[in-house]
Amino acid sequence: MNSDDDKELVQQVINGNIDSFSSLVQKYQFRLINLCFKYTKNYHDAEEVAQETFIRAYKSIHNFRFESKFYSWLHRIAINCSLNYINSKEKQKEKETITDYSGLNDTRVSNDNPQDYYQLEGLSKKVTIEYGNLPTELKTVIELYDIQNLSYDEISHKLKIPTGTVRSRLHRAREILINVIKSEVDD
Amino acid sequence: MSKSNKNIKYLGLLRAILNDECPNKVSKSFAEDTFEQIEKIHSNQSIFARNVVNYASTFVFAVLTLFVLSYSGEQIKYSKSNIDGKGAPITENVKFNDSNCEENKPHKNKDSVCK
Repeated sequence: MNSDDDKELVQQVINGNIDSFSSLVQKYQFRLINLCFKYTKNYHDAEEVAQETFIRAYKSIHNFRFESKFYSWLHRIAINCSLNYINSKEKQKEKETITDYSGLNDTRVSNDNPQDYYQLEGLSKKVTIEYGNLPTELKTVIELYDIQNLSYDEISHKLKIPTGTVRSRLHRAREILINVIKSEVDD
Repeated sequence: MSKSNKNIKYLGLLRAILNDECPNKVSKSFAEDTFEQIEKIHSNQSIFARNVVNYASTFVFAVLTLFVLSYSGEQIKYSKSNIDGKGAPITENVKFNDSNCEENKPHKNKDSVCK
């Protein structure tokens, strides 16, 4: 199976193969947590909202119409969940003000163990440097496919090279960059 | 985690970095915890679906049974008149008239009473 093909994974989930949803979680967890963090300003809450997003997506996956990309659909759900989170936080704040429980009473202590987390800031810099060092023909293909979201055919037409060459260049470029990730994130 | 899932995770992380959408940190167990929650929902849904099927099949069976009892086989034929006691024979007490019975003869001896 092509790992880029979300539609196939979604179809499998709709047909009852729950394991395919695990692949979608693995694939989009980073982008989704980052999106939720923009609203929550807190990594713990961002993960909670992202989890809620995946659960809602799973529950309503039968409503996915295959007209848009799966990530666009997930993105919309994440924004709704984040806005709900902000509303509930504001209500909680109002309650605390009324009952005179100010932030001074917030005695929560972070029990986060750094070993339980992927520290991605340094990795991100390393991958960006490696991306900058890629040969131009590989960099162009990965930019068009993974950043600008063009299809193989569109890239082939734009660069005037066969689709097979696009695929092989993309594979080579990804392999180089994923090796950097593997060396840091391997678990 | 399976090898293909690992590759998908690396690809997801790569795309997040390339699109400048990578968070500074992510819990290592995030995907597993999320999938665990989803599995729970999935199994609850399966139990619910099974119960619905059970109730539906019971209902269908009951309706079919009622249908069969109401419309098939011999139907009871009712007479158009009411039942009354006018034509019934008059009953009378039965008398036991056996001349051989010792009881009808005068008693000579008290012990020889017809038993």
